[in-house]
Amino acid sequence: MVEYPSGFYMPRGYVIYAHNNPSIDYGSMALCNALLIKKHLKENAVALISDKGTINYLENSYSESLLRQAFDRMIVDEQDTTVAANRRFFDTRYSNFTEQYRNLNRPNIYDLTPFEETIMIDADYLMLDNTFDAAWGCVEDFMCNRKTRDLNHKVNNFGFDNRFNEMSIPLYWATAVYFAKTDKSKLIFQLMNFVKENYAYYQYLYRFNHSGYFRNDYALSIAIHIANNFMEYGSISNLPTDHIMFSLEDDEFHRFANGQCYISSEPAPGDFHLHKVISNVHIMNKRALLRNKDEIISYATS
Amino acid sequence: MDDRLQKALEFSKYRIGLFNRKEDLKLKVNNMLVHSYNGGIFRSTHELITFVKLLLDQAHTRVVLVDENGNPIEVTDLQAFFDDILSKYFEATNYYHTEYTNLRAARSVNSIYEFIDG
Repeated sequence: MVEYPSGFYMPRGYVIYAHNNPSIDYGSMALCNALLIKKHLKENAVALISDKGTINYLENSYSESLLRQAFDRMIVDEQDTTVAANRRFFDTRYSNFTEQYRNLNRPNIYDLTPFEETIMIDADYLMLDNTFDAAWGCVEDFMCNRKTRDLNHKVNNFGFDNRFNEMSIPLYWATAVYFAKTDKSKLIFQLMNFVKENYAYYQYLYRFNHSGYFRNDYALSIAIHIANNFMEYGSISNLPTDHIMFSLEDDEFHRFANGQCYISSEPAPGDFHLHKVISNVHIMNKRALLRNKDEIISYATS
Repeated sequence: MDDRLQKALEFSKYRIGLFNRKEDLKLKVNNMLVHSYNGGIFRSTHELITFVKLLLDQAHTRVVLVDENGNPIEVTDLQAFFDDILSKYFEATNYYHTEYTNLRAARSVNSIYEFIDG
């Protein structure tokens, strides 16, 4: 295991969760993203929360200096395999595979983060600009986004205006979450854990379709709703950018060059649209992202 | 396929590409306008710039402004704040102008995205 400098706690930084499964190398995704954070952002400390298997894989695949460059802290949190379930992943419209979904331990972040102020991001939410530099020191102690936008600038991709259903609560995205260590933040993460432990009950109470695996977005949304006295609005503000831009699993990530992603979307079979992405983007086609990992690492370390 | 339809479809691809690229640029510029100050998140909009200039013209130096999230934020040096938001505004709009000018000159899908072979 790589030895890191003493002194565990730091004031501000990013936390990325990564747990490899046999088909998807989340560790390398986290490495790419951590290096992009170092490249594009002023506040750029990064902690990786992972399991021993994934960390061993990273240490065998990359040099110690590269790992040190990317991650300021590596924290082991073994996966909760009791609630792990299978999920279908897509690699464009034309290929899919089923694999275990292991990213289940995020509600533990309040206790695990080494930072007083933390931005927790998905390993595949690529940091291509410096917008998140504006989040630090904010008077808000918890921020995340409700709105999403795909590469074709469609804003209601999942139906119901980003709600569980037409009668239900707003859906918040756990793709990027800012929090400071306050009672309010602690309460939200404790509630997320409570929802996770009673997921089947909350599925029926809030009437969302159970996709067969634990969804952090759903647990976060329910936790916010409960913490907000079961009211819809009033307690959670947006991150500095008011939406999460994402590339669907149907999209193909062709090339990464000069800090920009060249992606094609295919809203209908055979209807290809090209995109040059220049802002932070959540790449849902994970295998496509990994096909570009060498270019991302090369750019971010240059 | 009929030539006329072929050309129409190519033009349609070009138009959708142009639209997407313009929207991408708008989002990028909107992000570039973000300015954090004393725990507040502001955006260098025309409205904010004009309002702050009005306050300065009336000799205010220390005021409370409401940020993007509706929080009251004390601005202790209004002139410095004004300089910062104006600088962000120029940086963002100059970037937008440069990219938009290039975009307007583009006459094909490839040139919209500046694809480089190899």
